[in-house]
Amino acid sequence: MADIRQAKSKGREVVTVSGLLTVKNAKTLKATLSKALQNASEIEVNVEHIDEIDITLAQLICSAHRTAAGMNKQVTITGLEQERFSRLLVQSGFFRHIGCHDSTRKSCLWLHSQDAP
Amino acid sequence: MSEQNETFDLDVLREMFRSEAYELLAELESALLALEESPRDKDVISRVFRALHTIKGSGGACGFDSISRFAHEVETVYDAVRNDKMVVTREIINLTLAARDQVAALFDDFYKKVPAEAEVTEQIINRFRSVLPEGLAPAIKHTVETVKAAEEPLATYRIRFRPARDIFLTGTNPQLLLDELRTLGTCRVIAQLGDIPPLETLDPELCYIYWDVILTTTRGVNAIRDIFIFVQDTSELTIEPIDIEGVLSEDDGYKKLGEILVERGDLSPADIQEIASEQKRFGEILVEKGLVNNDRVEAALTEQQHVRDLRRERQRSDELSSIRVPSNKLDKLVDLVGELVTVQARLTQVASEGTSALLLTISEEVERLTAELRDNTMSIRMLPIGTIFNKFKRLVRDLSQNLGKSVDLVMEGADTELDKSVIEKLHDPLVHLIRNCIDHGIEMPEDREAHDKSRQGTIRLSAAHSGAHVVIRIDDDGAGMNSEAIRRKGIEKGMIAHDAELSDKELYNLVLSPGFSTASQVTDVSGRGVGMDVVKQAIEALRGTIEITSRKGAGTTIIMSLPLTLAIIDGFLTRIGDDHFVFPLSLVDECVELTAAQSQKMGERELLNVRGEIVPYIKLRERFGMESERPAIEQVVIAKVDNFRVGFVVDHVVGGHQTVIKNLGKMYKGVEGVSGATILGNGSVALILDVPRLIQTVEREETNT
Repeated sequence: MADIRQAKSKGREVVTVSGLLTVKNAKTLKATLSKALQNASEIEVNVEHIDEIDITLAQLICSAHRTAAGMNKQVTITGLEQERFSRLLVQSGFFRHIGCHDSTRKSCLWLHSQDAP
Repeated sequence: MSEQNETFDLDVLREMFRSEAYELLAELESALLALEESPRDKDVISRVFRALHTIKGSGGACGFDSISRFAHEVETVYDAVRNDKMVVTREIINLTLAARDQVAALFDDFYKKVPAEAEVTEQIINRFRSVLPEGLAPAIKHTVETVKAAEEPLATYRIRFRPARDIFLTGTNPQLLLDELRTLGTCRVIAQLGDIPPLETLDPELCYIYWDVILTTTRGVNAIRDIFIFVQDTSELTIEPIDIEGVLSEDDGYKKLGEILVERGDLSPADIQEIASEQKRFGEILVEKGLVNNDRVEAALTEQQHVRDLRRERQRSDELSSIRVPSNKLDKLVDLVGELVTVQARLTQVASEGTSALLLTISEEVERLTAELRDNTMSIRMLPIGTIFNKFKRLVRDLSQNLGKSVDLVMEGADTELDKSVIEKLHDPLVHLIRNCIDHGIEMPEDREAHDKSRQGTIRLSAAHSGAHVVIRIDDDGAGMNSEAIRRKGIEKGMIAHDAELSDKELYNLVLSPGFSTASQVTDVSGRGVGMDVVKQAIEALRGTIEITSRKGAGTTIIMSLPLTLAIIDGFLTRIGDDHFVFPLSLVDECVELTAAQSQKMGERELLNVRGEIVPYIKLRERFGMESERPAIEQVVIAKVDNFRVGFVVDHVVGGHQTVIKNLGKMYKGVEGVSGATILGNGSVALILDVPRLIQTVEREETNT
């Protein structure tokens, strides 16, 4: 069961996702992220308590980050050390040495020194 | 290639694989025994898997198809263990050890012409199937049929997988496909994120990502295609080989970034020409100009790094790898060096007798080089004693299980090096001693508990250098020897007199006498009354010594001292009349003159007073029945054997001598007190004295009289 919450904290919109996050609830998460982007210039996505996930979650966060960059806003992600999420990122080849398409090197969410196994 | 050539090549390959095959079996056995102690240790599980995998792969390449298939069956089990689909149990270990023995038997069938029982293979496989969790057994059967086609040369592939946009909605998870690719080999995955749109246009149920994968595998392109079989009609899939071992890997570097991007179709050759003159990093320019996005540069750089790493590793392993030489070639080399040492001794003698200063200089130079060559050659034959120590783990495990005992084998100094021929001849005596320790020494767990000992007994097997010798010790913490029982048996067998006063050490040494056994029951392990004397003979044949110490209730220690090599030793040359005799220098303690004032006779035994110490001595002239005239002053060479000093009377002491040992041949097998011969610089023969045997013979004769 997915649990997607949105709250304000220190001037930022914090979107906390937990439980089961797959293609089945991707639309709900997209709506939440879009709303958060309208409301604040800084959005934090907290993935610390997710249980089961698929690539749609990483794709959505990536899209949100790109959208924010176009609006001069900022998306950050917390709880990356969460095992399930970091394993998904590593195994699906998200982590990289060069920043992604529209991003500067420093702000890419997946910029990481860790090599894909 | 003609059929004849193929057969020849296979034979050559099989011969080259011979020693590796047995090494792999030893490694497999050692890893399995380690796994038994730590069944969840991933590193040990990998060791078992790797050994099986190499036996399968290399065995298959050498045409051992049945072995390859069998190893594959067992490997499949460990693949399941590796992937946490099942756990290792005692039964699995036992079965795998049995499988290892069967593979050894199959190799022996070919290499040693010892017929193997082929049906055992099927029996083991069936037993494996019966213990596997449901669902895994059929997988094993299936893989048997496909194994032969599965192995191909190690190759690296560039894979681009662009799934259909609606892949998530069809219930397929692309991550699972990537995970499956990983099972084929070493894999690097880069997700191409450039097509992900901003949120407002993103349909979150569609997949905008595609993947570049660099995969190094031996499974071939078909195995890769098989993974994508259910999505191939709706996805874009390209698979290109970029490195094949021995085919596409002619140098250790790899293509430049631009070349990779052009090959991938991500960049045109014209673009490269245009930016070639700019003084910036190539990737940065491409991105700045919008010719390629960061993700594609990342993928190309990953490919570049992956293949470079692979080729460097391959080159390094080529550089570091040793070469295998048949041991008979090494034996021949040692023989030749021995001949050279002999000729060099002759050259030195001729040069020293002549008047040519130049010849003397040359002979000294040859002497130096010969000594260096000798040391180098001998060092090539040195092997760590651990090569046989490791075999005993299995022996201890199986034997203690059979006898219902619990025994831990602790090994120390396994890296101590010894000449390979000594190591080969040491195997059987050590097996016998360890069997004795388990059978007679270590008590049953309940008996140990009753004596306030841990239920598990310990056998400590250690080796260490001591001068020109290696000392091997076997200690056990078992029941120890019963000196009273040994004494009674000695009297009963007529080995000692009723009233003989023997020290504990002398009593324990009785155990090493022929026909001595205190075991009232003959078991299939030991206790047949033969063995310990054979062990002693074997150790002495190696010019070594053996000694037993024991404490009742606390355990027994057996100490063996062995020479580092059997081919060339440091000798001590002496002369009696016109004949020369060599003492092993390691046994020689000192030399003194024999004077009437210092010598005396006690019964049959002749004694010499050396600075207050009474040393028995043997007149070699009389012992060997030599009739030449005695010199006015004779010399006594005092040798130390088992901490006893015994003198040997000779005419003259010549001095140190590099002694190349030659066997005397079967005709002289029964001659006691002589263990071999050597050729001197003048071409004459000197006999090498078997000092311990000489002492024993004299002692025996004295006892009899």
